[in-house]
Amino acid sequence: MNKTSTELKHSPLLETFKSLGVLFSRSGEWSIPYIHSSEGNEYKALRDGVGIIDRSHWGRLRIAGKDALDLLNRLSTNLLVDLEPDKAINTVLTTNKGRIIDLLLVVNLGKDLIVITSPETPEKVVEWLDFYTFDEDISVENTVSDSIMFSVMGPLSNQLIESIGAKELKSFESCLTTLGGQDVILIRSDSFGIPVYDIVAASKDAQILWDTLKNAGAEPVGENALERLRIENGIPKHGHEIGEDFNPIEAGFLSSISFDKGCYVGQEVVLRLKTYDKVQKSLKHITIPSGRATKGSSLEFEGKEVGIITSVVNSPDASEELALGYIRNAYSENGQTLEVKDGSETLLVSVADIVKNQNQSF
Amino acid sequence: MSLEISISERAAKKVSDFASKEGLGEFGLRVGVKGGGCSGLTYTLSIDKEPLADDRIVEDQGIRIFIPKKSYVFLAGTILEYSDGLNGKGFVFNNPNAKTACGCGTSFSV
Repeated sequence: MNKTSTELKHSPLLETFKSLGVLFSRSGEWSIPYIHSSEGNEYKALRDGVGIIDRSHWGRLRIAGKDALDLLNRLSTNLLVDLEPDKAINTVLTTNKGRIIDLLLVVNLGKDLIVITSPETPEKVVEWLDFYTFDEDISVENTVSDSIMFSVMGPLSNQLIESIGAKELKSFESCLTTLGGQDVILIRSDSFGIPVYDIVAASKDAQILWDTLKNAGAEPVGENALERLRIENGIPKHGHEIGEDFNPIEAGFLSSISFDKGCYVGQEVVLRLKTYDKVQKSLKHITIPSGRATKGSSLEFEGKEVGIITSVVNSPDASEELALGYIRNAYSENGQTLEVKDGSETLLVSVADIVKNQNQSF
Repeated sequence: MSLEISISERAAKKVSDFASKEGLGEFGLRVGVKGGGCSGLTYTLSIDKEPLADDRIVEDQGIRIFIPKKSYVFLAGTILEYSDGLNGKGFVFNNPNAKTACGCGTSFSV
């Protein structure tokens, strides 16, 4: 990670990308590529082929010490204490009120752990772990500034990974290997609901790794194409569907929650929500025909607010928008019609269930 | 309100009885907190021969109590009590810093 003159953080490949005409946009404290060449081609690579995306702005923590898994197990929703070396698992860090701090990917590297966080949260997660560390043998290092993360994504990911000499991994497996002669951590995370290999390596190796993957046939992909895929696949994002306004059940993180592992911070609330069926709302797709809603728009039924839009993407021909939103259960049936206000006009919008596919990782 | 950590007579007797049963000579009661439990923090209780370098040491009812430095701020003013009988909960931390506690009372937040 480096900083530009405007103090935005960026990947070590900024200059390379700029020389190729890549377009950048601001995302929080980061400047990230949003279109490499053509959004349409990039999206097609994610759906039908294989893409490579620079996700170096995502959080990466190295956590060592014999109590590392035990502490994370006491602070998050999934059962982590049995996590074997070379395996990964999703877990939700929750407040004591059962609200989401972040969805974490915890990877057991054998001698230590790597934890992938959302781009906005590595510092928050470090502080949270530090607050709850008393006598434990644990050390936490934020490695965002001296490492990179690239993701190989799409149905042909396995073939691409094998073509450059690494072995195919199953979902939630990881290994230490070499790509293009460089040491990397390879994690099959399948985040975003499609086959995904995350590659974590030293910053100095960024260029050679990117070139190796690109030369092997991966299409460079920017944030725009990934954002479309994310919304279509109903994947929650921090600041949109992930945050302390929501609990992990309504966000759909059911397979990242162990309901019988015992106490963790927030467990009593999360368990009560499930046992007494107290979850009030759920995450849904909303189709907006004429495309004028934005994040934060209210969803109404007969003038009463029943939900909120959290993410929106235009269809490729801009004829409609696809959105994600939290909707109260009584109004969230598949096919339910709701209203969105656009100035003085009321638009009718349609609710649909999010269909999770076999690659859904949480 | 006292900021010291104290132990009730009944709890002190339970600790002494346990120590003599185990044949312990010199000992201290280590009380602390750790992350976890439903509300965020949970209590720890153990017997140690010697205090650690950073421990705060309090003596009450003839019992030496060792409190790790970082735990102390969460425990200042706590009275360690003992509740027995069929519905008894065993050792109970009566902690004035606890703003909320989980249903079973073993976990708290500040």
